[in-house]
Amino acid sequence: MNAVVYDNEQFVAALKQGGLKRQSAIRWLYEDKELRKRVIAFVRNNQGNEEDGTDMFHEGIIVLDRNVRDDSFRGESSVKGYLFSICRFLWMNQLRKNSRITLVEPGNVKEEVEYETPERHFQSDELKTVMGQVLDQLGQQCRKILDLWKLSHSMAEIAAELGFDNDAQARKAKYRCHLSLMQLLEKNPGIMQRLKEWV
Amino acid sequence: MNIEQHFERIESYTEGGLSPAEKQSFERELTENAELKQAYGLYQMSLEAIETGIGNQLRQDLKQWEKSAASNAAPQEAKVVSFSRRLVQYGAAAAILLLVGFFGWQFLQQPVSPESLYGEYYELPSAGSIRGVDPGTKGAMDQGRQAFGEKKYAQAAQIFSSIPSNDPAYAEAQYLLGHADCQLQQFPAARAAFAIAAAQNDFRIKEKAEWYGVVSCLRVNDQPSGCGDALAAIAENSDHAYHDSAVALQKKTSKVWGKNSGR
Repeated sequence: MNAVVYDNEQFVAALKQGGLKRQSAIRWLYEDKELRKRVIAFVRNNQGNEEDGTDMFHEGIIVLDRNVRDDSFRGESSVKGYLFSICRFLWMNQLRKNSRITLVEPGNVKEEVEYETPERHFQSDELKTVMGQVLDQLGQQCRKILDLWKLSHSMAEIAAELGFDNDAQARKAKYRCHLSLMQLLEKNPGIMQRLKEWV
Repeated sequence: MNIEQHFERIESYTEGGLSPAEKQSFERELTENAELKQAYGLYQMSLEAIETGIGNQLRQDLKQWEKSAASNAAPQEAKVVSFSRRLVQYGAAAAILLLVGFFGWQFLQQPVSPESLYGEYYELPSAGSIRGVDPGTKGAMDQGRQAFGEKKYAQAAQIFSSIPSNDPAYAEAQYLLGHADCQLQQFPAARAAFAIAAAQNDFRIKEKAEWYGVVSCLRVNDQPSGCGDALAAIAENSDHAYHDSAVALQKKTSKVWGKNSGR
């Protein structure tokens, strides 16, 4: 049971801090039964079932976590309202993909418009799969180092967590792992095609 | 492309570590230097890849919490139990605890079997990691990967063995051959294939192959020579992808391969 209650500022700070603080903040959001029920109800009212609703709730939390860490969440609405709007957006996208979009809005539409729109781009399933394949090729230790680094852990914390003797060793390992990841991406034809389009 | 040459500047730029003048110069160069722009694009892609990993981990955590919540929600009926009956229950529980403690202690004194350590440390490559395709070797490698994915390990082993040493996918073929041999319980052959894969110095394969070379050693009879040294080399290299696992395994293999892990 999570006894802590977060306001927007505390929630954002916890997610950005990473580690156990991030974990507890996410858990707090996950354990909000009312919010989960609302997401599931929205999905069920729009041609989905309970399982789809639970999936959307999970996917919404994943997107929210990243948006908060990337400063895409501006704090203009409550974190929970923002999560609901992400879940709604994700499910609408899913319906669009399956070409069955006739959206039934929830009863309290007035409340909805107060919510920030999730602006962050959502990775396509195809890109997620390719990225997953590349990550599989990277060693477990490298993945852990890069995750911790991206979750704003200091080199001293990374060194302590992964058993390096000092910060310098952790920094060297991070450099080596990051470079390997880029080299693996460079060798992936799908990634390079996207890159060529961008360049 | 020489990524190393640009890496530090790109990272400093991305993390806001450049002075205003350096930042301006970097941004100008980005418009003029195609290689720098491509390296910058790759860096951005790498951040996306890391985020994918973080998202995947969080997805797993959420599923785990879901499972725990479901099992905790199982109905529990309260029972009214008399005091004397409770005393009997406590006595029985204490006796069971003593027995479990005694046999547990006995169990811990038993040497750890190499088979159980192998079961603990061996991991079959995930489907995702064997789906990549190297241009030029598409035919045989694809067939091998497909057979491997379909658990036709004998067929996969045959195909991977046929990939010649001058083929760009040779290291990967030997690495997957090692895994196919492990599935076929051909552990000496697996160990040899992993050694060949590691010797190719392909950065994508090398550390994995070194690690699984050691893991397959656990199932080779008569304490093969060199296994302890190979394990120690990984355990001593803190940059190695399997460093932590090797340190843990080294402690456990002291009971299997002797005090110094077979050295």
